[in-house]
Amino acid sequence: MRYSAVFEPHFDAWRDAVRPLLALKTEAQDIEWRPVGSTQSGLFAAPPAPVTDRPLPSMPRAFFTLARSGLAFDAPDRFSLPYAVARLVAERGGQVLDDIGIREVRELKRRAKTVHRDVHKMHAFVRFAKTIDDAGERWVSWHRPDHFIIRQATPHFVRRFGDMRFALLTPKGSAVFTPEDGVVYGPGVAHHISPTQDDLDALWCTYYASIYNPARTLTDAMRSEMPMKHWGTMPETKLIARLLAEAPKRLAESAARNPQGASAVLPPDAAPLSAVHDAIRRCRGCPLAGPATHAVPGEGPQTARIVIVGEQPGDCEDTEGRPFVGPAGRLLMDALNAVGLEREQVYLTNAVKHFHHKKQNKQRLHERPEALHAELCAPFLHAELSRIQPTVVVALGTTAARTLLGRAVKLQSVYGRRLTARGGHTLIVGPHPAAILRRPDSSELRRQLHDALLKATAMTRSTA
Amino acid sequence: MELAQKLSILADAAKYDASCSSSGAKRTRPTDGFGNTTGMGICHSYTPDGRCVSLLKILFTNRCIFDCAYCVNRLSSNTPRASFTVAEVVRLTVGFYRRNTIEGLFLSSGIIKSADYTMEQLIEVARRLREEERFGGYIHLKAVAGASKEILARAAQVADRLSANIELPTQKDLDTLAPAKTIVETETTMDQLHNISQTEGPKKLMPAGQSTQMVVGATAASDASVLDTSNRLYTSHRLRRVYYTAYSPSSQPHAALPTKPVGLLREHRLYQADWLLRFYQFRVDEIVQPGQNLALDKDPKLAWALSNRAFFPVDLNRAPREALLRVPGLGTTNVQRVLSLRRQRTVTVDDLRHMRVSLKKTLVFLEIPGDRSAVRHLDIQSLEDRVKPRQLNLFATGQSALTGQV
Repeated sequence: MRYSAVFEPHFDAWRDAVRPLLALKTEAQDIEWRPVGSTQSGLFAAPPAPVTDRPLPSMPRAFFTLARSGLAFDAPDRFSLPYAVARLVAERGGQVLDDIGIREVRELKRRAKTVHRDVHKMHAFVRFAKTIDDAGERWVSWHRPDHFIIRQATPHFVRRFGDMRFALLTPKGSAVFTPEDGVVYGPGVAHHISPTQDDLDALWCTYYASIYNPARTLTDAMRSEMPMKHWGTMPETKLIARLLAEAPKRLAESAARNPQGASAVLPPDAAPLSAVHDAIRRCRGCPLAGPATHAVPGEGPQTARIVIVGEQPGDCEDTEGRPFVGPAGRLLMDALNAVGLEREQVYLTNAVKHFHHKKQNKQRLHERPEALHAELCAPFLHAELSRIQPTVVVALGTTAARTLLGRAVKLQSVYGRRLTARGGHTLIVGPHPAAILRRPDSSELRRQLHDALLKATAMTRSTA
Repeated sequence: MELAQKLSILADAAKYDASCSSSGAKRTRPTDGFGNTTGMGICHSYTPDGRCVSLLKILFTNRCIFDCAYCVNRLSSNTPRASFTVAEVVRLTVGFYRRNTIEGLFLSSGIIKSADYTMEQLIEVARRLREEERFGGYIHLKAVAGASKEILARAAQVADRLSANIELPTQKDLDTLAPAKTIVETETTMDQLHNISQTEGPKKLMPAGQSTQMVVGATAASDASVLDTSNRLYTSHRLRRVYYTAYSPSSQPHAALPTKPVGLLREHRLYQADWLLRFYQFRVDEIVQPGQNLALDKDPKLAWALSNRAFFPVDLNRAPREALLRVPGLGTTNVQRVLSLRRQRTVTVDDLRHMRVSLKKTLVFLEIPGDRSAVRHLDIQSLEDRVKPRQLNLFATGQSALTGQV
């Protein structure tokens, strides 16, 4: 016998409609589902189920919980699938609900899970906008769920906001709540009417922008958890494009405030000297890298017994990318020749690998590197020394001396003395050739440079 | 200073606290008020870095009398400073909550004057929310280590959760980076909070319990010592959650700290190991050897299974729950499903497929009628390559604080 079931299209009405059909053991395919308000013609309709005195099968609570959610799923068979499962439960008992081997059970569970997620997202993403009418504050929201969940989702808002007058509007049904009259369900509202925003909406956007960490971007994760179809009603999402666009700039700013120095690119200890040189050329770890033309790594044989460390590249060195090739370099070469050394016998490098300067008219004027620059760059110098293992290191000028000793020193008090550098290398300090060039009376400094180089050469002979 | 500017500074300063959860407490709406907590957290938004926004997470002030090396708000940092008033925090919390953008408030603070004085400010915010605004939403307050017992008891009256941060796994680590802090003092505070929460009374105090946070990778401490500390906190102080946060160089680094950020993957593996301790009945020494770190290329449960092959195959239809929980790829939910189903009939490979279990990873460790995966592959050399994931799921690393199912 074929029957029709006529009911309001929500779970409680469906449950009342199917009770007699279950008692009659009517199969799912023998029922015409006629929810009120559907467009189906009433002609040729099967008769409604007769009133029966057969006992209604008692159903476990677990079934109702599952069916209530599963029935909210938007599908042509949203009313018949839960009925089919109800028949299985009536025939075989509540434990069939655990048997995911049965297609209908599996499908109803899948639908219930999808609906739970949809309800959860409605609880999460509904945004109330404050409006004022004659009776006071009224909070209005519009949300677009995938399924018929208004009756599943509303009780949560009532429990939470029971002192507010509020409206939950969705294309698949609406609910209006007042503390006096409770919930009234109504028809769907197709379009979003956007209410005006107040200062707290603006503050919410401020909050959202402040907690985003530009160093980590996982927009796929964000989109999968917060689908874009909800973005229209969530004011903070209008910031996302801007936040993402600004992320590189914010990172660059934070990198400028928070320079990583050499350690960001430094190769492992086992890597060869050439890898250290490559890392120096790649380094953007401090503010000096930006304006410079070239980074200037050290130069010379890896077997050199003497390493000479200057302050930083100058104008010529920056242009060519090689150390000691400008006027100060020529002065140093003369001083080396005077103690019997050739450029090719020593390893030449600087404490700081980029040219610190300021532009004046069209000229680039040398600026002394700050202690921070030298500290950030120091790992490169130590990496070079660890590859070469020279007999002696000659530090020229105050920056090189401070970097190698790990403390500020008065140059005059250490010139020519045998010292120990951080990392254990033997160290001799001399004046920087650029200082000699700048000084009108430089004979004393020239003598001290010559003296330092002479002592260093003597050390290589005594240990050879 | 404008409220928006304060909010910007004090929200930015609070983002280094990993805890975002609003779950674990149930609180019904006061009859004359608004707000409740449902017991399960709700993420009301997501930031472009994929993180959940559930609470208004801010500092009351980022001024601080301490100089802890790993902290962006330390005394010697030149970060911009701001302080809220009690009324401002109340207004923001109520305003955001009524718009349905948050589940509640997570209020922490730099230490001003003293531990007690700082906590007084936080308690006053919570008290006004509860008593004057009749707010029933979630409130998580920072418990400042060393605060007096009376102050802690008052905080427990108004908060759902309190957290005293352990910060680093051992006293040696604290001595290096946070010389003003001691493990003993923090654990004393935890102990007092636990006792307070057990007090009999008309209402349950701090229903969401205590949590804490450990910074990982700022010192050389191994994962083994991190997990030992967690285990102690779970067992002796009954902590609800330990959060791990991979050390990332803050915008104002300290010279004593490493400048390379520790991988999020290490943080992810610690969360997985933490889940094994709490829900899978593993012991720390089964997961990681003393002084060692967790493997990064495979999850800790798989790593255990690969080095304990004699334990397998596990009989899907007969083994007890504890044994099923040790099978890689079977999480607590699916183990429960298997147990319910096998009361009725034999559980098959198809059933596992319907549960969306990763068969490639799981079958070799199981004995199932008609399936020979275990017989064929369990004893071969290349088992590890067979079951190890080819690509590491980096999305998972962003989610691991929420669900650590392994």
